[in-house]
Amino acid sequence: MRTDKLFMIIILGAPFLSASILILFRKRLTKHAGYIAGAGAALSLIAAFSLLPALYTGGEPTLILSWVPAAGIELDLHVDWLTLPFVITEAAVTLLAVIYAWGYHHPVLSTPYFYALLMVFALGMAGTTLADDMVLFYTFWELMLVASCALILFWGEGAQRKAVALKYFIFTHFGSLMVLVALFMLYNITGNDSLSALRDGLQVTQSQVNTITTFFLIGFCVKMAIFPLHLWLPDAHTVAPMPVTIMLAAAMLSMGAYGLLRFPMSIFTMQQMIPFAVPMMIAGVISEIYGALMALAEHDIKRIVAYSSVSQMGYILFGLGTLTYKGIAGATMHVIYHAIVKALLFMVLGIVIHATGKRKIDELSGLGRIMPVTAVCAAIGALTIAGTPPLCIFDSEWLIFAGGFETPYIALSVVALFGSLLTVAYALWLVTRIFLGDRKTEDEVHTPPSPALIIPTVFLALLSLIEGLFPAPVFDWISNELALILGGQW
Amino acid sequence: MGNLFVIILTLVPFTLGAILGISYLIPKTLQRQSQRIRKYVLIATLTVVAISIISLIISPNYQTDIAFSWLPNAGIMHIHLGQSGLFASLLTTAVALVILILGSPFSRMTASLVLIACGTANLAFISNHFVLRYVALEIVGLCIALIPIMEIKGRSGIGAFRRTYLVLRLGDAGFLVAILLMMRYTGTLDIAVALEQSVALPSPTLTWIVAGLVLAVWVKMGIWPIHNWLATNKALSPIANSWMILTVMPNLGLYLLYRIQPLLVASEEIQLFIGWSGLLAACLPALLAILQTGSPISLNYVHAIQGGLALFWATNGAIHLLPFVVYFSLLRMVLYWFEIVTIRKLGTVLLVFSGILMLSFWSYILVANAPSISRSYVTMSFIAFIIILCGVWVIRSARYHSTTIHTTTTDPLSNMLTQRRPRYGFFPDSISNGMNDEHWLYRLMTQNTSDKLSRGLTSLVLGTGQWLYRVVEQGSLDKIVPFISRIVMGSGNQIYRVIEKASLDGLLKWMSRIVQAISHRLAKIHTGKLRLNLIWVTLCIVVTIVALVFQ
Repeated sequence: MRTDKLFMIIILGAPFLSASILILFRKRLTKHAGYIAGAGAALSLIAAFSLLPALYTGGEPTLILSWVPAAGIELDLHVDWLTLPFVITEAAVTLLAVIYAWGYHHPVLSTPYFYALLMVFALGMAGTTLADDMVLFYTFWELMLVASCALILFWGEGAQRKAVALKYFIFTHFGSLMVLVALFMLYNITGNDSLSALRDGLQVTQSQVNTITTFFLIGFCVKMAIFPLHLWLPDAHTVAPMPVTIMLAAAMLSMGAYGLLRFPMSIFTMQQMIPFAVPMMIAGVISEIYGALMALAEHDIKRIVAYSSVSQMGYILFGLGTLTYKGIAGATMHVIYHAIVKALLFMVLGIVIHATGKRKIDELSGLGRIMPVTAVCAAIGALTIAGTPPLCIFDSEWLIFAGGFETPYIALSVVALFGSLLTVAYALWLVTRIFLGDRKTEDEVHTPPSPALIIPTVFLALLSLIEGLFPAPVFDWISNELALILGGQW
Repeated sequence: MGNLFVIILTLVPFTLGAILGISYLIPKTLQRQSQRIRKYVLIATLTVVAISIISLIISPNYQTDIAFSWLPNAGIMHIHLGQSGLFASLLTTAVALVILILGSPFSRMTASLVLIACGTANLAFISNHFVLRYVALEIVGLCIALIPIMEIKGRSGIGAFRRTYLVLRLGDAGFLVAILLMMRYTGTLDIAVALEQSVALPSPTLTWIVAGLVLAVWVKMGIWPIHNWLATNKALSPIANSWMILTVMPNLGLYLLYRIQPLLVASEEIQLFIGWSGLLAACLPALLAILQTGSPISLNYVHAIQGGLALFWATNGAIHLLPFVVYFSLLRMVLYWFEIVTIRKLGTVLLVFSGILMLSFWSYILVANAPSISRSYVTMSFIAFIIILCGVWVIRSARYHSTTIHTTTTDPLSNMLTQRRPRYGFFPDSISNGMNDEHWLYRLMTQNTSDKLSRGLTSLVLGTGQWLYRVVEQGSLDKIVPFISRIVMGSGNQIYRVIEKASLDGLLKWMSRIVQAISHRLAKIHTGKLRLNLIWVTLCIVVTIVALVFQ
């Protein structure tokens, strides 16, 4: 077996194996569950990075195993330049979330289940990106949903967790059904369930393209939490325990963008997608501005950052909607950089909540003096999401806006650009209210943050600066990916 | 050699500033630095920077081949050692040096921000790539916005930070729109080439580009009515107030205006519109300035006057006059703090001297060098009006500085009203409160009773000024930022209530209720009694048969 195939198996196998071990030996592994999950996540990340040389040499590692022979369903895994940035992002976010959970989650009898479900969640995301078969894609897609829903249901915070889990399930399942309908239609037209085969060429009419793309757009926009399909997100992000929130916000939202890139934008040509450019751009701008306004209206710090995800996904949809090289490259970069900054911001909020036990922004003030490192990380996170150079989001926003200005719809791009001032407003408001000003007398730090909370937070703050200063490697990956998008005719 | 000098004037202060800033985070034992050492380090660094700039100015043979690629699809970023950029850089650094030598102590974070701002401002002056300049401007803007947090305790410092940063980002957004449009239509981000090619663009496109650029200049120079971010505060150290807030960004704005000037004169409509906007933006603060004598706020208005006039002259082709604006601004800043900190009498003399220079300069422009548009009677009258008001401001300032003690208040009106004056029946209270019996204006208006017209005019101007201050400045502009923020927050809250909760969540609940109602109804009909189930089965069979028959 070639090493590339081994790495692909490890990407999926490591989280699967660690989840299995945690479930089978849960009583013995209560205290060490986090480390086993961490090892699984680390192995998965290393394996993802190990596939880079194969891609640089022009290869596209593929693994085909027979799954349901009678139905012709195979376990097809495939790695290309579109897959890899997403796989690496998800694996890295999972590892950081697991490390963060070491400091956030006190070991109890059910802890192995918690980490096992985190691993299943990670497995679902990795499988979705690696899948080269519609059935497999959809299976992993639903696995991701079930695992995350179970995490919210059993480990969610507050009395509302059951209702929120149900809402989350119904909403995202509705999106999944839209995707499923589109997949069925594709299968009916082509008679083929291989994604690679779909990319090679498709004989479809424009009306079929319109119908399929509409279903895909609705389905993936639910996952991306684009207005008005975002209603599951603020509640789910708020109720979920912080490590799960980090994975939901930083990794799972990006699956919607991946879906859009993998399906309509990979299998249809530029001409076929042009009718969707303006609706996507308009939906993106509305989501950007609406999410930012909601973030300004909120008082719960987790909900503020949750709504900021709605806004940030708006940027991504806007970039994809431009159908330009720069816009799509920027949107894909934004997925990665949004993962960094959103994980960073939620980690900072986790430290604040863990230390003070408070979530209302009006009850928090002046924490910078007792948490200077966290305050600096929060400031970096706020400036990053505000698009301040030379931090990473500036690079992706630059490309997104540059793509927007290459379209005939310059007024929309100007609105998107000026709308970004709202992002500056809520980011500064959030951080200055929590960390600056006079300390309130009742502000007591119950629990000082442990290294497991601080180390990944500092790492992400540094990463957002490093990525901002040296965006070339990530852009290099993405420019390779663009050859696979919209027929590769740029 | 050119490369070395470029590194010295950009990277060295930036790196030192960053180190100083990071040292704030390390354990307290390592943080103890003598204030004197900190000051000497700053002075030494800025001296080296100034010497490097002078070396580059006097040796035009020194060139740099520093070029690098950073941002995807933004091309190669160059440095250009043009004389105009170097002079602007030298002036800015020199003012920092003078204020540092004369000024009072400052915090470590201020020192760090000064060094970072100095390095990045120099980079902005000498960069020949739009993105590089944009990034440098953003970093300088952030440093300026951070100053209130570092030096003013409590909520007012935080509010000032948010307000300043947002306003500066508004200007940057305009700049970015212009950059992206130029990149689209000229295919380059090289400043010289892009500006040269943009001149030939069709009028609608050029209008968008100029609008973005003028918004950037407007904000950065603090031209009325976007001048409030320049608000001075005596709680700040001299270097923070006079250099960071009142010198660096206005200079960068003016230099941007200097570079984009060819675009402003490329179309007659743009030229006319921006020219008049600049002139009007100079007139109103001129009225306001004379009411604020002796207060730091008056400097904002004088800044705004000069900014508006600079814009006016730029649209009229008088580009060679723009550097004088920097000169006068800087001179006034230095004198202001010099006067406060050290020798009061000498300060007064120098202030008057600078005022006379400024008046001579504007008169010279008015009489000798006025280009075509400014030769019309209307514009000539406007400029004459501004010059007269500026003259009043200079004389009142000189008199104020030589007779009164500075108070720590930053509110100009309360500053004036704290010194109770006798009431003068001839004038409205609002005006007579603003005078004292030794005041030259008072003498002019009361003792020289024969000159009714002069009194009437002066009264009218002062009254209008006060009215403007109350209605426009305090009534509108001072409230506009809180108003906008209330509007944004309020609309956010309204949308949250109406769309998010009442409509979307409400719709969801409504749908869920309907689905539940239907399911309950169906459950009642469908399950339970056998006869009901049998009816359903019969009905289904009938429907199937009917469907098969009529197929």
